[in-house]
Amino acid sequence: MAKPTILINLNRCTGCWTCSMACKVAYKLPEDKWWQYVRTIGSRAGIDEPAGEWPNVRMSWMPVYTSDCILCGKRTKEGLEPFCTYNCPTKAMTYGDLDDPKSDVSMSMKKLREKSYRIFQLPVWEGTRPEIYYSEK
Amino acid sequence: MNKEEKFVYTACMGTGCHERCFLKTIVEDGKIVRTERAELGSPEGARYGICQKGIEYAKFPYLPTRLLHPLKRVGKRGEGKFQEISWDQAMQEIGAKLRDIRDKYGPEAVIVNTFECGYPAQWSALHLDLALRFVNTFGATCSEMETIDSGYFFATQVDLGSSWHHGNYDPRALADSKHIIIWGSNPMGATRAVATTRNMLDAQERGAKIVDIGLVYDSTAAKADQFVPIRGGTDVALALAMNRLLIEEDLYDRDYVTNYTVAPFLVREDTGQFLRESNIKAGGDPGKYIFWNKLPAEARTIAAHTHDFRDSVPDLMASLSINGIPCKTAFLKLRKHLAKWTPEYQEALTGVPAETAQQLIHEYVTNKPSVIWLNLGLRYYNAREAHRAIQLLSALSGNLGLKGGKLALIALGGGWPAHTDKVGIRCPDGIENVKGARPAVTDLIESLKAPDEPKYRALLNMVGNPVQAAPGRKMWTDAIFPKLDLIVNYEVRVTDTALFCDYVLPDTTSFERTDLLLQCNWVVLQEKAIEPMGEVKPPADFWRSLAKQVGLEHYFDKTTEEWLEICLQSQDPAIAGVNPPLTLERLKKEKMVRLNVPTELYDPFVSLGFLTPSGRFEFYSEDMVKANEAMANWVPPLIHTPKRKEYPLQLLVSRHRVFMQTQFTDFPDLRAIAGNEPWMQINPADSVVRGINDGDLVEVLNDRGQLKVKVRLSQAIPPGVVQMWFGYRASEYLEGSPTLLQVPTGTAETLDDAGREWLDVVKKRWAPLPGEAPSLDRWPYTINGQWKIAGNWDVIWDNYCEVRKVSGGK
Repeated sequence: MAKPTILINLNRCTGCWTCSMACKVAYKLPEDKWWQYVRTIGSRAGIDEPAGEWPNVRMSWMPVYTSDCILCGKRTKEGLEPFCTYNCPTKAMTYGDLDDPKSDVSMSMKKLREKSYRIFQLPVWEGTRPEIYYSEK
Repeated sequence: MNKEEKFVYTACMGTGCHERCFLKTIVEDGKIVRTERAELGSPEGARYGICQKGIEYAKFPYLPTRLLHPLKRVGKRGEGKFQEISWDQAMQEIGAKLRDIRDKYGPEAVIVNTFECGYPAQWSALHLDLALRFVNTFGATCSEMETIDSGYFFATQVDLGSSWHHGNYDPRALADSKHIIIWGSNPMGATRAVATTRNMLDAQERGAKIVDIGLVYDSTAAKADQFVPIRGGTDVALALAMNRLLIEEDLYDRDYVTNYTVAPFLVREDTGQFLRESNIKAGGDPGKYIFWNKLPAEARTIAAHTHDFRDSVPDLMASLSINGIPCKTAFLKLRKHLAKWTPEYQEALTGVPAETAQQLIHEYVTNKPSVIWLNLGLRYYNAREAHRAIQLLSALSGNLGLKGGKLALIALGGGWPAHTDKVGIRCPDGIENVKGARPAVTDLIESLKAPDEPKYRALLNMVGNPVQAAPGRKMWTDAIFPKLDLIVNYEVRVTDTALFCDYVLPDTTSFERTDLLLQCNWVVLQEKAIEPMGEVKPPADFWRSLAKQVGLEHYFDKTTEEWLEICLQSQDPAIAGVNPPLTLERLKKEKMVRLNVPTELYDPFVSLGFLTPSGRFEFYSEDMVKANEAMANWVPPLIHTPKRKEYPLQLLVSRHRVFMQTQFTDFPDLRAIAGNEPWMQINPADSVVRGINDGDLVEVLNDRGQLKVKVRLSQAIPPGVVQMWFGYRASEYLEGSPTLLQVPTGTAETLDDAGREWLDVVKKRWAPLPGEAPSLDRWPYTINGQWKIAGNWDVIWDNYCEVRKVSGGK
């Protein structure tokens, strides 16, 4: 695959951590190790802590791929999806080759752009995996 | 999974969420490697998914807290001192005690707790079937001791006629919904994180608006288009006001209301009963109801379970005397009943602005089809009223009759109702000959609490964990358990309840036993993923060895597979009509087989109608007149008490999204998400006046008990409420535990006249008629499920407290 990519539609992310757990269990990571985790976009006080003041509060989530993530290299070579995208219960994640305009991820990105979703990546200084794209509206 | 990998299907342990997911368990060299989401065949396909619990469940058999050997208590009850003993010794000792108790006090002195809600595969699981077979042959007392969901049961049985049929809901029906009101629950990303959430998000993407009416800001509130905060226990007031607006602003669906509810029926002002033909005409039919026709103006009749008025036009507003009997239509009675529920009147109780109440109802009727999603989140003393009032919104607006409208009540199963053979397996001597007692839960609990000579002597706790999970821990440990000479627990880990048991016997996880899973129109074979670890035994073996001790071995002589063959000999057409016939052999080959049910989505409100005596939505119930509960009414929650002067905060003990009640609280990965330890959340507005800072140690107390815990300031919690995560073991708290502060469920304290009356009504409605063979439809309510109809109310959120700083933290 020329450009393996994961696209995450944040409008469908509920912050459930299934993606992170699927990775952690499959790769038998130790208790304190997470190759991928879910960031709460809120007050920054912790998981599921909203920003604002009651009742004008808001919160969303963003799965973040650390540089430890291996994008399930072995698994994807066999034609399978990464553990995170495969098990996402809300189908918020799409995996595929961004260089192939007919791949799931390219098609999905195109469709979301047409629907005025903003497509973006985390800044380089965060040091996260560069293959991850987000969409949000 | 790749081609070389081997897998079996397994029920997720977290089945109590009602999402009913099942897993693909991947096994390598006799060990579970991981679990993945599983898919059904067409047309259901990938309806299911998996959440973080289903993924983590793969680790469960290997956790250090897993129970692998039979234990006998050697210390005091609750102390946690056990020694490992053999199954033989355990069974011999338990058997000797059971025989002794049976001979001295009768078999009914032995209670079997069958609180199966959280059990993997639940109703289709052999666990429940065999426990009931034991009750029915030994003659024990059967109970769901931690009784819950009564408000829902009451409201559905009284107004709709059935809990079981109307409880089912296929989340794919949301595809047709244009408006979704989620009321009092937290399905999105939390309690229904998979198929339900996905379908809700799909609907939202198609333009449906999601409104969340709730107490705290949770993941559902975050995903919703509008969050409507409401004060705890006041939901019924908002719903009554919305119903009033439907009528006063002429927004109701006249056709639906006329044809499918009791609105046009005349109600006698003298007795409160519906006027019958027999009341006004000699030799008239008592089964025919009377309505007033518009032109010509005259009394006419309509039979129960018919919806066609043909040439007649019923007058919904009729008020007149017939043969000297003053009458009003049920609709007019409802209108009068709702008169005081103005948007402003509800605002004073709920805190929901009057204009928001108006906006909610206007959107609900203009954006049809609109669905209201309940799912058991209104756990207050007035839960029954809230459910009835919200159900009424669905009927008055006509949404109940629309595809994509409806009500998601508990949204069970996700498909057509189906059952394996319950008679053959639970009642080997036939329904007529079952033994044992099924007291109302309150009668059982109050009898256990009473200080005189105990009626009950032994408890076989087959499923459930009341000490850790049920409100009112002290009632179990200090009032109930000391009365019992024998307490036995069959469990997968040593829970807080197990700590008080004399014997704790190791059960299989769903990875270690064969069973049947009824999943959204399919039956799936759960095969063993791994061999049973340690000395754990599946239910077939457990009951065989116990039955031998009490002379019932001939009833329990089968293997798991032989029991499952009996389950598959069901008379339910959904199973009996499968072609080629559904056998274990076929299942072993195909792993899953679709039930003989239509491909259309199950819709109880179209295919079934209402199972009330009239066959209509009975928002006016003549059976409940005696208890002054004919219509949904405002009943104050327990937190509306003068005691709030002393204890001004509502104590909300709610479930973290990574736990399933007490289940999963031992998993390190999940604990990391939940914060690794129990804590209490409080709004800064409440903490500042108490001098409490983030991280402080606080004392939480009321007139029932107290606990000590660390505090976190949070804007997710409204002022006036403090919130704690439910399910941790008591040993995790510095002192006490939250259930100590809660009103114990199942007690007389949570019972009222309506509850008592309801029990009689349901018994009467569901009892077989003289000469009638007991039918499977009536079965759950007569032999098997009577104890569910407890009369008492869920008060899990209905508690007050005060919080005081103990010391600075951080």
